[in-house]
Amino acid sequence: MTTTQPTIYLCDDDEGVRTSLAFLLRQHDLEVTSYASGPELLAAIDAATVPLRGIFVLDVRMEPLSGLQVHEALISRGLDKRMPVLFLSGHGDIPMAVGAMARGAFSFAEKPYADEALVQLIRQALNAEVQWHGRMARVDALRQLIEGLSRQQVRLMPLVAAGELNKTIAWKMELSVRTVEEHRRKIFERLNVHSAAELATLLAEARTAGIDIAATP
Amino acid sequence: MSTPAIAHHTHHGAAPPSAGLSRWSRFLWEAPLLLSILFTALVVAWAQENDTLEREALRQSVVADTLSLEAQLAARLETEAVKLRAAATHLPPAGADPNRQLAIQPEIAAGLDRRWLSVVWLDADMRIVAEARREQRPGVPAQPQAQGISLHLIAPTSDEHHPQTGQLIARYDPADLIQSKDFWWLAAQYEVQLLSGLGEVIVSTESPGRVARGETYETPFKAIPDARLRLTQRVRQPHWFTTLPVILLVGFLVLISVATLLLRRQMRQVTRAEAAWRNEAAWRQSLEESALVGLRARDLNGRLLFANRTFCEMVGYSVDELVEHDPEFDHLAHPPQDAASHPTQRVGHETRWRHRDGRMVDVVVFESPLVDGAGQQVGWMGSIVDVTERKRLAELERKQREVLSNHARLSTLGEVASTLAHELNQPLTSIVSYSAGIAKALEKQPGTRPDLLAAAQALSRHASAAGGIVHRIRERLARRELVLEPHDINTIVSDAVALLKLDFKRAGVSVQLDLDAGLPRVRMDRIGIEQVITNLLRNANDAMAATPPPRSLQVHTLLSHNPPLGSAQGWVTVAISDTGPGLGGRDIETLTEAFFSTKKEGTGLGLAICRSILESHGGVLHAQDAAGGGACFSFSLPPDKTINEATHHDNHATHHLSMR
Repeated sequence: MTTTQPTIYLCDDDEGVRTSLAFLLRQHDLEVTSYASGPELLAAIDAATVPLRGIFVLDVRMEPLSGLQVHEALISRGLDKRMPVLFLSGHGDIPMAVGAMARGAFSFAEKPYADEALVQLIRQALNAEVQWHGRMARVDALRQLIEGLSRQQVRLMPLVAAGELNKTIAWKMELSVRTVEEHRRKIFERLNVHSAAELATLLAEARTAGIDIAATP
Repeated sequence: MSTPAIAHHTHHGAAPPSAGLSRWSRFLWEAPLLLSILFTALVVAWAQENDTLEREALRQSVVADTLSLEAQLAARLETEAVKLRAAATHLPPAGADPNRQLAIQPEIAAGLDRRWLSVVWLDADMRIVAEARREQRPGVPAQPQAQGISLHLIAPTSDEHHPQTGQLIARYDPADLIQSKDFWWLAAQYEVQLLSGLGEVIVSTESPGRVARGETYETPFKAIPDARLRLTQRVRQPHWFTTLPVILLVGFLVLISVATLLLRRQMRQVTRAEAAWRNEAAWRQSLEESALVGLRARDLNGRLLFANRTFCEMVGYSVDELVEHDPEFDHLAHPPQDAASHPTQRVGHETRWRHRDGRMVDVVVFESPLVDGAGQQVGWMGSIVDVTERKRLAELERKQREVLSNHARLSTLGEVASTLAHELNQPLTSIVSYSAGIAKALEKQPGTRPDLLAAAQALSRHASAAGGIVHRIRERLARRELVLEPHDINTIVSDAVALLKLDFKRAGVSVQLDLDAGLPRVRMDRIGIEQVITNLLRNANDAMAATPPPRSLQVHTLLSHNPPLGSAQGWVTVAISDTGPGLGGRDIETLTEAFFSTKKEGTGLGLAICRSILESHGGVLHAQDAAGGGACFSFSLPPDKTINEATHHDNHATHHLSMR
């Protein structure tokens, strides 16, 4: 599994459903990799050398691991933030699918599904994946940029974003105004921003993405 | 029995006797006796008075007789004295033979003949000159001597010169004086006694053995110095209280007393009987009034004679209205033919009456002949039971059963559809996917035969349609709207047990309920949960059919804090254990598999339906072998919070599905 093209990772223990669905999706020019069980899927994920792209389509009722348990495993790997998870639900397990939705699954399709609806839902998921991927790439980049700053600069950054004057910052951090000016210039240059407002926006984005930025000292 | 009197009696209950009346009647009781006593007292007083008067009169007559006797005796002695004086006067001076001289003196001889015992001639010096004695004449019994005492008369003799020359003394027997036949009438009545001055009896007319005890009177007998004359009545005047009238009267009093006593006793019995009758009448009346059974009596023409309160309440009319008007339910007044033909049997017939306010009353009427004291049938006695409420309850129970069985049927159908849908889902999904895929592939391929493409597209459409149909059927049947309301599980358990009471009884199953009164109310679909309980109870009942008695079924409700799904809050749990053959190693998964059944005629859906219903409540169904060898099915319902969450999710799901 070396491809980075968005792929549909399909997991269903019913061979008829699995192969037919894979067949259908391939006819829509979609990339499908199918697995007969949760452990098989998880093993493949863990063996991947490059970051995966795509979505997961999981049947709710499977043996030995249920769709929900597989979902849990994906969450523990942090993959749910990057790749949408779509459930296939038979009747009677809708409450479970709903529970999975509450835990962050993208959507679920009830069997027997209408083909267009399912293809459309999968395309939506794929689009979402692209968006998620872009956002995650930006976040990764941002993290790298922030990680490139010195400790002092990281501490100083929120104050600058808050629109404090150099003088005030210097007094607060017991630095010379000159040093503060230097740090500010380095931060702006590194993060490629041109104003305190831009910096504030960027920091907000970073915080949303879960990047740890030291609070005001 | 005078039948109208019954109705009459109902209106005017006998008033209890007052205390005043009782005192008056008590007086009446004693009046005859008191009057008798009064009468007797008056008669006794009269008798006494009479007696006193009589005694007084008697005494006076005794006095008068005494005095008159004394006077007569005195006069007689005086006569004798006169005759003696005459003899003395005619006596010549003493001669040679004075004895002879004395004896020939005619007066003297007459005197000796008459009364004198002897005559003695004394001279002036008190010497005896001569003596003449009465001769003892043969044939004449000697006069009784007055105890040797004799009395004498003295007369002086005289001549021309001397006023007294001597004396003639004539002795006489006083007894002779008194016992003279001249006084026979007195002697018959009185005892006449002559007493000396010392009180000695000188002469008595009575022989010494006989003693007179009657009225007595004494008077001095002047003719003899110091003597007294006493008359004593021979017949003793009886005491007044020993007289016949008084005795008769006393007898009368005794008889009256006895009669009064007897009468009193008789009347007491009558009174007691009357009191008993009153008591019984009052008792009967209160019995009639309190009876929950309507009672009515009718004569042979069907006219109402009597009705008790329950009957009146049953039809909404008062007794008077019923008796006077013979109201609208007149058609009921005629005795039923079957009752008439079997007068001895108590055949009840069911009918409907219209109450005065218009509602219908279901009643069962039992008619039996009304027989009077002479054994003659005078009408019909009917007891009427109001069965409206019973019928209503039966109807209600029937409806409940119907609802439950309807629900069960629907659930069964739903479960069939659901199972079918589940089974069909996977292949249908495959067909949909394949056909859609083929259609898509053909579409992309240049030069595709259009009929093949159309066929593939049609296949896809039909498969989708089939899926839609299955889905819709399942939606309609399996997803019944849950009516969630807070309910007490104990009530539902009790109701379900009550519903199957008859089945248990028929199968000889004893049911023990052990319900925890402190259970919280849980929001649940009542019909659904009742169906689950009913189903489990029925299963248990059926399971025990093959096992020998005693068959017992135990139903527990409890709050379990350790349900399998794990929750800090208590789950309301119902456990039903039987003494049947047990589970035979099968677990709940096997048992709830669709169409799995141990019963020949079972659908194999019962437990599956139970499980579906419980899971739709967020609850769980368990099965395990009971301690006593049978099976124990139990289910737990989550506390309200969990239900709320599940409901929330359901809404969410519905919302999401509608988006597709």
